[in-house]
Amino acid sequence: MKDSDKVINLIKNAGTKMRPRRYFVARAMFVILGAVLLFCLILFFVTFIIFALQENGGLFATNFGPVEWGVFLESLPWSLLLLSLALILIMWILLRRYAIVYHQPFLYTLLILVIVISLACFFLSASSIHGGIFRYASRNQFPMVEGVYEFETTPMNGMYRGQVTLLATSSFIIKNPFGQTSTVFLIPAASSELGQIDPGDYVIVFGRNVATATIDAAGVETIEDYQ
Amino acid sequence: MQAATIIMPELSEQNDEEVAIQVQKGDIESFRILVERYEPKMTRYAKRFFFDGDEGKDLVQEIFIKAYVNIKSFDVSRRFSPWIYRIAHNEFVNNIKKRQKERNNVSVFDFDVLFPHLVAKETADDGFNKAEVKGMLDHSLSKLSEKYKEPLVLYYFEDMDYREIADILHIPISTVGVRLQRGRAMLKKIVKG
Repeated sequence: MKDSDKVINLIKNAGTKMRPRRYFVARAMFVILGAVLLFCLILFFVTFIIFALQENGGLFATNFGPVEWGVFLESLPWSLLLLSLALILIMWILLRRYAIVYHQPFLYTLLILVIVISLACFFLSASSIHGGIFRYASRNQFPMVEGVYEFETTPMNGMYRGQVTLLATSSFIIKNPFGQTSTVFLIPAASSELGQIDPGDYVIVFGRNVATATIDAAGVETIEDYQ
Repeated sequence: MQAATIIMPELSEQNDEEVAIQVQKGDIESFRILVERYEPKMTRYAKRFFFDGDEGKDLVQEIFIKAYVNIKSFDVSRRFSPWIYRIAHNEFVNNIKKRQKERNNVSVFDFDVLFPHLVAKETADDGFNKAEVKGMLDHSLSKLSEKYKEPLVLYYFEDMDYREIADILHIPISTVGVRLQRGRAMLKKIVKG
């Protein structure tokens, strides 16, 4: 018996059926839907990282010289960043069955994803999405969500967050979220920033604690307070 | 059966993709044409993976059954050959894993797949001619790792181009070039002893 006869007989005798086209369509749709959901989740996490960096001040730290880069690195939400990278990897594994993905080295795919996510973040303002979520959660009292957005509870070296209570000619006083006050002196190079601050503003001060409740500041950034 | 004998001469003149369309429409006898065309190729391919004798025959049968079951996923605008070789590749790799109880060399974290490569020209033969490489491969195939063996077999014995090999192995086209180049260099080293 020819090998081709054996195969055909095997198919006929065992009642082997072709999988219907809708099975493959459904599978492809499932994969694409999964990828879209993952993309949305990644986008949500990345915008949250940007929002967290804006709120904890880390994003502005790099404006004040290489010394503050350490502050920036410390302020990064590493677990969320690693989770986002893991999700990108899962998305790549999911889409790897398609020629458009496996024909390119992983780094190219990663680069394209980073560009797309950056563009999406540019158009969807991180602060408006997450600020809105936080405000909604606060109004409806979802303590878990509130907790996620409480950046003030994690103070970092070199960064001081608070509300301006008093403004003088060469200094100002801030009250931190725990009710403690500090006097902030701006170094001469940063003194012009005083003109941009008003009493009642929420600010992040970058500098060094030189004495009890006294900060020598290299820079100040005004932030929006969602707390 | 008589209807099949009438159709078959016409079908035998059709290309693989046209025959596959007939199979997709439910004509099981058309599938016989594809089996006859690819059975020698699949047997030869199985032998390169050291699946010989009954084990090789069973695997080739399994490949055709899987091809039949999944034929409706075949995109008729593309070539049939890389599609069925992809099924064969998966079948062989799964069986090697079962046999050796070890991971496939081509893992998710294979650096060849992660990074772009500059050396990937289809003409980059490193001064080897096809007959020379085929001769070396015949003698030293068992000494090569799976990662380099398969692209070399597909390129030199199955006459596939870079894109088709990339489609079978699901790797970037530039990686095919790199693996062929490294595989040839390894072969040279093995032959020199």
